[in-house]
Amino acid sequence: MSLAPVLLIEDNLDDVELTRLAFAEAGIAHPLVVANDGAVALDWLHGRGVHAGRDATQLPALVLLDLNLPKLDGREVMQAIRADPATRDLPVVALSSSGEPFDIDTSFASGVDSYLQKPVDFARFIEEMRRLRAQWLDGRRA
Amino acid sequence: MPDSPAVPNYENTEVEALQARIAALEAELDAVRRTQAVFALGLAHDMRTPLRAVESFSYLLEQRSDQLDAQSRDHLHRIREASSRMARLLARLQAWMHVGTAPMTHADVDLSHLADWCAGELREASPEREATIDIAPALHAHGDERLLRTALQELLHNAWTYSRPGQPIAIRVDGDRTPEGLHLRIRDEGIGFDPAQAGKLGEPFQRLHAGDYPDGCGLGLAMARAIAERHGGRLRLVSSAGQGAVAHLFLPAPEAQPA
Repeated sequence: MSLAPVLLIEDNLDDVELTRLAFAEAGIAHPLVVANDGAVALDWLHGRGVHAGRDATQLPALVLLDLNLPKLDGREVMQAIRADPATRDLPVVALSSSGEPFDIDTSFASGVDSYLQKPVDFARFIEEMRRLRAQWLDGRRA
Repeated sequence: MPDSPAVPNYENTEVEALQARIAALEAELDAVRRTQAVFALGLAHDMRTPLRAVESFSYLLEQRSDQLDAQSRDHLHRIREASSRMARLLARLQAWMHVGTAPMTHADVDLSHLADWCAGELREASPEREATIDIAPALHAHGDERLLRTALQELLHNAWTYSRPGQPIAIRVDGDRTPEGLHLRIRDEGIGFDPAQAGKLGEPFQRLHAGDYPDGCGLGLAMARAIAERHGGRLRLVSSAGQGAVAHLFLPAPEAQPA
């Protein structure tokens, strides 16, 4: 049985590449699906718009959500995920450059399960991805 | 009977007008400070993303540095050093802005206990240094514990950093309680500074020993001074070159602090 993907909602292409590399270093075997803005992410989850035809019953194992996104920002995406019965139980980890208490508080208020500040140091990012794997992915199947 | 000193005879309306003008100027100043803080925090936040790319991709290149020639390895090393320095600077900038904007809570704060805790941190970070940090007991002040801990961290770190190279570190923390509040002193026996430069200390990005101590950002004393001022107090630094330095932190009694 194949592993369910991790949905990364991230508009910065450097961060997408670094997440791919950190996944590999951390031994995360789940495929990474990338949505570069919030609207496309919701389309992918619901199998509509640019992702019309995708089987929306196939949910990701985890959503990694950047906060500053074009079109719909991270909190709006989060509210849409939690408002829909089909997606409201998805585990979502906010992944942001910000360590500001305001951003952390409003992210939790919008319904994220966890909050991770993207470290500047790549070795630390790999460590964070290992922890993320242990907490959210190991033992979960498609 | 001696003459009384001349007292200007202001009309009540003039006094009220001046008070209103002062209040308006203080409000303007607060607004400017808030705008600066939002700008600096936004800038520091937005710079983290490109910095993260430089830091991370150069780290990945470094993992394969055996495939590079000597000159390329040297260039890569310089990039890594520069990006690490920028990361430290951004982190310090964010800390400095937080000092100016963080909401304050007021309570009795045991500065002796906080200083002891800060001293422990310094010893743990540099266990190879021989150091005596003598802290007088029962130094209490009224203020925000988190901010006052930051002020002590910065002042003690400064005293530790600018000790005499290769010699034991000696720092003394003591103080006097006066009717106006607490006068705390942090005295070291380090390299000191030129008294003519004293006015620059406490201003952001001023580094009097930049050549010998390149890791500093020039924000530590600025943070300590900002914290003193947020409590309605002040910071004064006294030294003569080569004779050590004393940081005088004045923290007013509760009734003299800003609301």
